[in-house]
Amino acid sequence: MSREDGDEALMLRYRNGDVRAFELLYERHKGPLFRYFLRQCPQRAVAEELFQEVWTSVVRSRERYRVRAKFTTLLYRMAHNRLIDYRRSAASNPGHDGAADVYEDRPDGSAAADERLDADRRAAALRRAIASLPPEQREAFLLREEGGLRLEQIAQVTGVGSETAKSRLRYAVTKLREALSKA
Amino acid sequence: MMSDPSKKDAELGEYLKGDSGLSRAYRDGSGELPPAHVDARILAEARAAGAPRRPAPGPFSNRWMAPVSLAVMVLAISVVALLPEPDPSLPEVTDVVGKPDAGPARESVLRDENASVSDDQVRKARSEEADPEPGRRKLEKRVDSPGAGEPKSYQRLMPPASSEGYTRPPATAPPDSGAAGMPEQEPSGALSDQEIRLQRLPESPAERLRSPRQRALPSEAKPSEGAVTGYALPPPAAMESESPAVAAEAREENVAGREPDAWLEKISQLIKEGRVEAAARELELFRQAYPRAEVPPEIRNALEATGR
Repeated sequence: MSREDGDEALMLRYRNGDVRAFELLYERHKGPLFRYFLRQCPQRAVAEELFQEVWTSVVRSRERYRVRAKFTTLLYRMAHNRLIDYRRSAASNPGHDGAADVYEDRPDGSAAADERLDADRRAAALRRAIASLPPEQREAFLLREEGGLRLEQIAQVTGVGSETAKSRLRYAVTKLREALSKA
Repeated sequence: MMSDPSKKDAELGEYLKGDSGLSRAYRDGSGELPPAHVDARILAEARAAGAPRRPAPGPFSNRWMAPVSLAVMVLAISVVALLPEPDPSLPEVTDVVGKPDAGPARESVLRDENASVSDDQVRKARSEEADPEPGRRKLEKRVDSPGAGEPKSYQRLMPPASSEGYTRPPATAPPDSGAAGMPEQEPSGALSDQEIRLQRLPESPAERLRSPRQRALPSEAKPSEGAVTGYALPPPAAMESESPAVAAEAREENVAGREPDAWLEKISQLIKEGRVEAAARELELFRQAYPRAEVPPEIRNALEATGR
């Protein structure tokens, strides 16, 4: 990827009125960011709503954008804040239970996945294992897998120290490996 | 089992290198994308917000030219209308009628506007206009430059007595400046005893407006809007052209609000007292103020007999 096509350059171009730059940026990050929410929200509709809110924030804050960090760090920082807000509101509204029903609303639920190939069964087992992780460990793993963030960036996005982020990710990887080996 | 922390760190290091078995397994089952309608909504918002903006308009761009001009015009008109002090920049009406030879012209204007009004009524109305509120007017002493540079006295117009339905201008003058909306007239010399007495007269403008003589004037006699509305008639033309002493005396008479009949009566009184000089001066002022008024033969004869 050339520097001209980097996320930060695209965001700067969009700040200056280049809508095409935003389209490229959106195309590049829409899948990972959507899955980041999808894995952590109890319902798909909630994930879509939070996903849209983050991109709306990107659009509205374009004029204040300065290249101080990687664009993905900024993007997932926004996503993390939205998720925290949602969890706080869900905590005060009984009936929502984290990611417990993540797969209930998904089109490819676990029942269908069991009838697929072995790879699909492993993937489904892995998703269930991800859903069963503590939220902090789950987020650290998703920031690494979907956002491609390094440990320092994960720590920056989640607002914790590097060692804490490293510890969370290490526990997550260990649990998921175990779950994958049992699948 | 990996219970050894160093072994877990090694596992994490291997994972962080990328392309681990765990990462491949995760990516194999992770292809979900946002729905198309969400994509469309976000992109539409981004296009709407990111469209090239026009350069910021300047302070005097065409977009604001019209409203700003209108606002300035309204403000200017309001300031001029509410201005309590005499304004030398509004000279037209007074300049025309204030000239010594403008008396007949002004008289003809009044006649045209009030064709059905008799000469006597016109004179009375003009007398009221020139000095509508003598009892309430406060006069300022200007002892520092007596008689020098006599300012033109532009006064707020008090509506004539016959102007039924006329609404007085809003009170904009300070509380101590006499009647609302009426600036003070500036005399050129010291106050006379008569003027001091007149200041203390309790008669209010409303009372003067309700006097039977003023009510008798037809409604057409009220000043036409635009020409003289808002400003009173200037003092007699002689005040602008005579010596300061004569002008001051004439202004005293004007302040007193003497009507033509009373003025002539005073001239007769002066003649009877043997003050022919003063009577002649009064008559000269009277003729300049009321050029069409008829001077009684006894006055005219008495002064002509003395060579005046």
